[in-house]
Order: sequence, then C-alpha cells, then structure tokens
Amino acid sequence: MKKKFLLIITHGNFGKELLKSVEMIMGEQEDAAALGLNLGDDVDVLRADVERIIAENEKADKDTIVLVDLLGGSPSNVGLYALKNHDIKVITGVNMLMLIEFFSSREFEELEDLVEKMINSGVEGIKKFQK
Amino acid sequence: MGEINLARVDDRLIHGQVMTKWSRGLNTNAIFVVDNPTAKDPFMKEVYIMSTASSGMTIKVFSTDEVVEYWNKTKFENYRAILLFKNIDTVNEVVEKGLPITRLNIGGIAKTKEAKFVIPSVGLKPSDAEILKSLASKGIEVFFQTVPDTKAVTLQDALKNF
Repeated sequence: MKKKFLLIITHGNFGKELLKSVEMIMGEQEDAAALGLNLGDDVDVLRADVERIIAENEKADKDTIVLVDLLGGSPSNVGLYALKNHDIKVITGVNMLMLIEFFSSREFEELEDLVEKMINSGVEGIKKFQK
Repeated sequence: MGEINLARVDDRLIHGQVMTKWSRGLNTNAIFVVDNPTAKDPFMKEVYIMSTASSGMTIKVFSTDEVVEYWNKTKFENYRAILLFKNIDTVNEVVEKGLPITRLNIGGIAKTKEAKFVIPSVGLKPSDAEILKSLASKGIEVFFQTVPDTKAVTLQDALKNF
C-alpha cells in the first residue's frame, strides 16, 4: 500500500499547533507537515511551498491528503488550486479527530476509504451536552 | 442599475476576510474579481466559485477590459458588488478607463523590500503611494483597513511615512 502524507494548511499557527497537540496524544508522526499563512505573508510563497511538498511526495510515491481550515479562505484556495496539477485529496474544516483518524488508519486503509473515515470522525466528534 | 459597494485591493483576492467580514453589512450580493491573470485561469476561477457556492453571492471574474465593458453595457445590472483587485495599478487602470469607484479600501498587500507597513496587512511601496495620491485627487476616498473591526488609516496619515 502507498504511504500517505498529511499536509495541513491554515491561517496562522493553528495547523502547526494542532499537529503538535495530536502528537502529544499519539507520539511523533512521520510524513506529516503543517504550513501557516500569517498577515503580511505572500500567498504565492505558500503556494510554492505546497507545490514543493506535493512534488516531493509524488517522487517518493506517496499520496498526499491536504487538510485546510476554512473553505473560501486563502489556505483553502491554495490547497484547492493544487488539484489543478496533482492527484491529491483536499478536506476542509480540519480538526483534531481528523488527524487522529489519519494517523490511526493510514497504514491499513486505502486512500478513498481513509478520506471518508477522516471526514466521518471529524464530524462524529461534535456532540452537544447540556443540563 | 447596479452599484459598487466597495473597491478593495487585496492580493489574496477572495478569502476569509472578504467572505466573512466585508461582504456582510454592506448589503452586498456580488463579488467581482478584477485581475487579468485570474481571468485567464479557468481553474482558479473554478476554485473561487466552488469555495463560495454556499455564500449566496454571485462571483464573477473579469479582466480589466471585461469589467469596464460590463459596466458600460449593463451598469452591473442589479448587483451591489465588491470589486476586488490584486494591486493598485489595476485599480488605476480601470479608473482611467472610466469605472466609477468612489471608495477604495487597501486591505492586503504582501510587504516587499521597498515597502513600508501602513497597517499590519499592507506594505506600501513609494510608487503605489504616488498612484494613491493621484486617485485621491480624483475624489476617491482611499483608506487602509484589514477588516471592518480593525482601525482604519486614512491616506493622509499613511503618507506621513513617506
């Protein structure tokens, strides 16, 4: 089975810290990276970083799953634009459970199934409790 | 007849700040991107349209000539639009070609070497400052502001840095 790489792209340090927080629970993970876009950053620089990471993955015969925060935001625009030249998966609305599902299941789920599982877990974790 | 609610320079074009902040409160029903490279890039257009599908707003992408022609022919129909530009040169071009812009928000320009920060999201080059002066002399109100909740800086105050 092909190795799978997780690339998180968010506003600010949200993605980087999210990855760190998940690694606090699951231990350090290989084949995962997070990029952040801050005020005053050039989106084209971010786009080039994303291109480079995906191209390296392709060379190493790894699949890339891109997680972005807000549909319609710049990180999401960059992630979706990468679909033009690359056979990748993009999921919006990144959260902790999506990452946990990815790291737990990536070694034995096919790409399509893994993406579905990640989305389901991401949504399933949202529950309401009240008195 | 339509109207231009706001013209904004933002090198990220359509993104979170525009969709979540600027488009609300101004009774906007359309966002027109005016950018020649994007107008020639069907895939980028597609990205903008699929990302904004649930917003209820009409999204159009024009080249500079196309937007001027659209205004001349239709006066933007019934759209109350936000016009988005990647840079100040492009605004100047469409103003010279007759687009009636009255308020210009400078909201996002990545800082380059010769630029100075006016607000944290805008790096202004001396050449851009000159163009803005000339636009202001035509009666256009120029202001620097990232989102409506943050402090606005007038052109007059911004030019004190130069």
